[in-house]
Amino acid sequence: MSETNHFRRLMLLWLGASAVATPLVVVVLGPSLPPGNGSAQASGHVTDNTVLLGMATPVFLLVVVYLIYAVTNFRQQPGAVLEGPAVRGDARVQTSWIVITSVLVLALAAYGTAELVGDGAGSGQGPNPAFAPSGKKLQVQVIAQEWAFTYRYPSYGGVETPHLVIPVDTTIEFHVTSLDVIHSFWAYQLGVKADANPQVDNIVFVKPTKQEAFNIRCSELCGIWHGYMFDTGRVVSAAAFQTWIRQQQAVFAPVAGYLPPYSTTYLPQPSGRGT
Amino acid sequence: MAEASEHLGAMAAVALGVEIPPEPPEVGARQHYLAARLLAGATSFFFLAFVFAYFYLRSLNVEHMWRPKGVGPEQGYGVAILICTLASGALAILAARMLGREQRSWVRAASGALGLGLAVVVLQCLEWATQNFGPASGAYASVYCGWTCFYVLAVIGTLYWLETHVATELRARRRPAATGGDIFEPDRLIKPGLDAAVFYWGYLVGLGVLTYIVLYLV
Amino acid sequence: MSTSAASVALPQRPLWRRLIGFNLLTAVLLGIGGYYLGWFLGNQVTGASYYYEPKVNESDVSLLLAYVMGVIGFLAGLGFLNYPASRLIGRPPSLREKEGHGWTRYLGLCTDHKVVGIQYLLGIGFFLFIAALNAMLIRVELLNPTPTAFGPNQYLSLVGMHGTMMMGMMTSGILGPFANYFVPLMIGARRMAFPRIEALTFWLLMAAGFILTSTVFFGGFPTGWTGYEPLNDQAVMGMDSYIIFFALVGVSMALLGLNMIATIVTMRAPGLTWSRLPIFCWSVLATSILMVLAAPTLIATLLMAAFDRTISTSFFVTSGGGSSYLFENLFWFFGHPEVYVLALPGFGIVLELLPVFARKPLWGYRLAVAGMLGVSLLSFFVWQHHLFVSGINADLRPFYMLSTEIISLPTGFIFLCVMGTLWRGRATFTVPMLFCLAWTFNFLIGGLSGVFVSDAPADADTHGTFFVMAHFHYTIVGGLIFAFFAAIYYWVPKMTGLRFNERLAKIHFWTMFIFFNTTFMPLFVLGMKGMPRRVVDYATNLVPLNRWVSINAFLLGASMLVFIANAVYSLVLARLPAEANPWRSRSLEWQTPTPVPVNNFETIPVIDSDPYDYGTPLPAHAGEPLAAGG
Repeated sequence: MSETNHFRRLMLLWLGASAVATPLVVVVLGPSLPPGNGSAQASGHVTDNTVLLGMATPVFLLVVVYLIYAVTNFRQQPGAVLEGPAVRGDARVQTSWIVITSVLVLALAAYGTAELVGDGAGSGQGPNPAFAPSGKKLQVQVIAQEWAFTYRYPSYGGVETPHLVIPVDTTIEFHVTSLDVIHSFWAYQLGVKADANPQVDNIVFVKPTKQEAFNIRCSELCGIWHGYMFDTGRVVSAAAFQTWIRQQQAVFAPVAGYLPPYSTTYLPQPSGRGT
Repeated sequence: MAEASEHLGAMAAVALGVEIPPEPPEVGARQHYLAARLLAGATSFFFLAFVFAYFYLRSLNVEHMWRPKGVGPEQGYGVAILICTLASGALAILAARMLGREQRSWVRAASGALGLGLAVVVLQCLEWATQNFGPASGAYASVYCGWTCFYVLAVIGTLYWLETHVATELRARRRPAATGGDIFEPDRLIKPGLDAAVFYWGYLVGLGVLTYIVLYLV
Repeated sequence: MSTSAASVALPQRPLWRRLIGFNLLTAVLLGIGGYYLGWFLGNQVTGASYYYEPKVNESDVSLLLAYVMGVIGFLAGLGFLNYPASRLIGRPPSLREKEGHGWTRYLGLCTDHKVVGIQYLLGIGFFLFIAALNAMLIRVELLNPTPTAFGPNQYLSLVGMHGTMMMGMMTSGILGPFANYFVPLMIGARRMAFPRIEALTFWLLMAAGFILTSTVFFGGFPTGWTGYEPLNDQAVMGMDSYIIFFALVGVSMALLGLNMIATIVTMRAPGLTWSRLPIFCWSVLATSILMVLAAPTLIATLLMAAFDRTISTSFFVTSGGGSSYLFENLFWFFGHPEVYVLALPGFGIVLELLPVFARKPLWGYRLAVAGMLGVSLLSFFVWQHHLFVSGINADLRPFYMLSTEIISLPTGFIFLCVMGTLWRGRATFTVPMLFCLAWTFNFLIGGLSGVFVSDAPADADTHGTFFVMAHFHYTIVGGLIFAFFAAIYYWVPKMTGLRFNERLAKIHFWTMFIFFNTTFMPLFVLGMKGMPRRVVDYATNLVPLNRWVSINAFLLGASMLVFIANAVYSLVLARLPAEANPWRSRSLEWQTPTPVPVNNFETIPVIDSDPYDYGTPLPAHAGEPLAAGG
């Protein structure tokens, strides 16, 4: 069979496979991709994952279809000792490969940057966030320590509670910090992840859109009970949030006096060795 | 018994292959040249970690603990160390030049370089013993202790490297090396070896200047 | 008794006389002696100073000193200090020492690169086995969502040892055995540039391996292979094992890389121009550049950590003005080149082997070289993609996202070269070829999953989860270990003159390929469903998938047992003889006699083409070895 025939057949196989698989992946698998639609940022991640999967599918198929085709066609006949053609390269193929992959890569990077710039995409941005959504925000401080999270609400007298409850459809500005080692605050359904570093105020924005419970886990190894550093938070209506925060203020009023004043970071205890 | 050992002798001959001529020293010379430069590259990346730590911690100044009041190096020692380092480097380069012109007194210049290099080590030890802060006095003190400690270790290693060439030369003057080994005329390796060691020492002197600027002046 | 008998009279000496001298026994004894001396000195230092009082129970100083002095004693016992000492008193330089014969040369300092290669293969194989056993134990624990087999501390130690040992030992996984053995043969050299340094890298690595294993006596370490501060600073004495292990590995890596670069640059045979250099040597060169430059940063970082733990400096302790960000930056500045140190030799092996089995020249030689060097260079500019959610320089995320995604361009070159070499070839599907094809598939998945992780917004979901874990297992196990086995099946006949049983080898390949994918593919899903890394306790909805993964991991482990059984049967018990050039390769290493003589080549060959001169019909007797020097 001639060179062109192989090439044409391969292209047809690949295009056919991609034409079937890519829409299937995007339409069927896409909506069920994590982390779901718990927040504006989470929805962004779903779109993001879908786009990436949609781009990866044809690339994956190209190599796999090629491999299968090569294994079935470009093989030694049993018992024969034949040599292949002594081709050492093809300038056209190489140039077009470089051009196409470069375009793909640049497009990916541009897309990722665009996603990032809008609302910070739910990842920790350090003390001076460059990519912040506009509008009014509710500040919530997440304090990680070995091995639990606590939360402070500076606009409600800096009350500190072991529960995370946030109002729906409000942009939340989490200030994540740590009292000892590096932890990571991961609210799965909200698509939020931000490392909690000692002496660092790591800011992350999220706008919850669904009233639901969400899972919180520490996702940075922080010592022996790291596996148990999890929690459940809740997104509730604005009115329910007001009721809840009043209740918390009342419950924790007796200890309010012992808390350090609200601050973006807290000095860690001098390293208590021996975990 | 004799039969068995002769059999072993035959096996040894097979295993060792045919006698091959000794290697010309030019191959080793090229390797010394390259190795000195690669070592300099590796050393740069080693101290890059400390340079980075210096500027990173300085810019963060966490808890205002970058450089608490009263923490500062002894400027006198700094200047003395710098002068010894520069003089030692200059003497080493002079020694390499003299060897290039086949002046036998290069050994004296090289010994001077070694002596001044040792002075660097001694002065640094004295400074550690007399300075008014310890490793626990904040971030600057940490960087200072780590950086100077490993710089001194690098200096000691390089002095050893220089010394081997001086020692080889002195021994060769009394008794030239046999040519029956695996290098043809191993004494001809002294010059490329010294050049490589002097290159690396020159690089370390440059690093010493950087050390002075960063730790004492900036 | 003739003179020749006197020169090989060694076996006649009594046993006790043979045991005295610079050998492994002396090394172990001196190592133990050095260890206790260091421990004693450390206790003297810390006991004498009120300054260290709060820490005296844990005596990190003692343990670190004990390890360092133990290693020095070990090396002195092997005889590594003899040459430096003889140079100190001015003895002339020499190239080789201790290149005897017989199996005992594998047990000590030997400067023959072929002996070192085999030492590496066995040594690394041993630690690979230990680390794989750790992985099995991890999967035993993850059969259940709550701790059953181990407590949290043992579990974290297992995770840490598995990761650290794999990442540390396998940096030399291909360069150690195969580059040491074959680079001199491929470039027509009689030795490595620095034979003593070559031997030193191996014995340092072995000492390091046992030091890491000894962490179990000191409470293990809770940080995983990344050793993040300030958890590192808080951890018990087992952490010191980690620090010394990785620092020694760093020294070994840097020296190995230096030696490789010096060898390839200065020792090529006449006519072996850069454009004729085998592609495997190019990959070794690209890897070595990374090793020489990245490893010193790691060493410096770990020494800073050791200083923090012992003399109370505060590089990484915030209360003293340090920063945990500093550690993350420095560690990943080494850490990302490190992962390409693992991947690049795999590229080289696959591209080296494919032309032999496809019976075609390597397609796109220059593109492949550009790809490897490009990966090597770019890998220094991507490290903060490990820190997308950490809050470090968050405004630089677009840059690191771009640089990371740009790395997929040179990696793509390699794929194009693989595909181009297969194009209209005459492939035979021998076991090494199957491993190369499996590499292509695995690394493809590894690379494409990397796109999800490198995308800063999507990384918020996947960072620190099993998704990332699956991604790098696809690139390291799927990339490095598959290439490692390809190299074993391809080159062991040359190294030993023996071949593997073909049927068992095929069983090994298929079980490994299938169970590798059934083990690691579900981990992507697990990660996406919210399973963080390194947890002993996980959500109950993840139980079925985790059990599936565990069972498949055990089957993957069983597949390794098939390989071990094959190796024992074929190479030790049955000793199946191999043909001189079973793959009809044209590469220079296959043109030497087996076993390769100590000096490799009687006369140094003159090279007039690259080794991929396939594509013309072979003459009938091509399977026979050509004369050395042809």
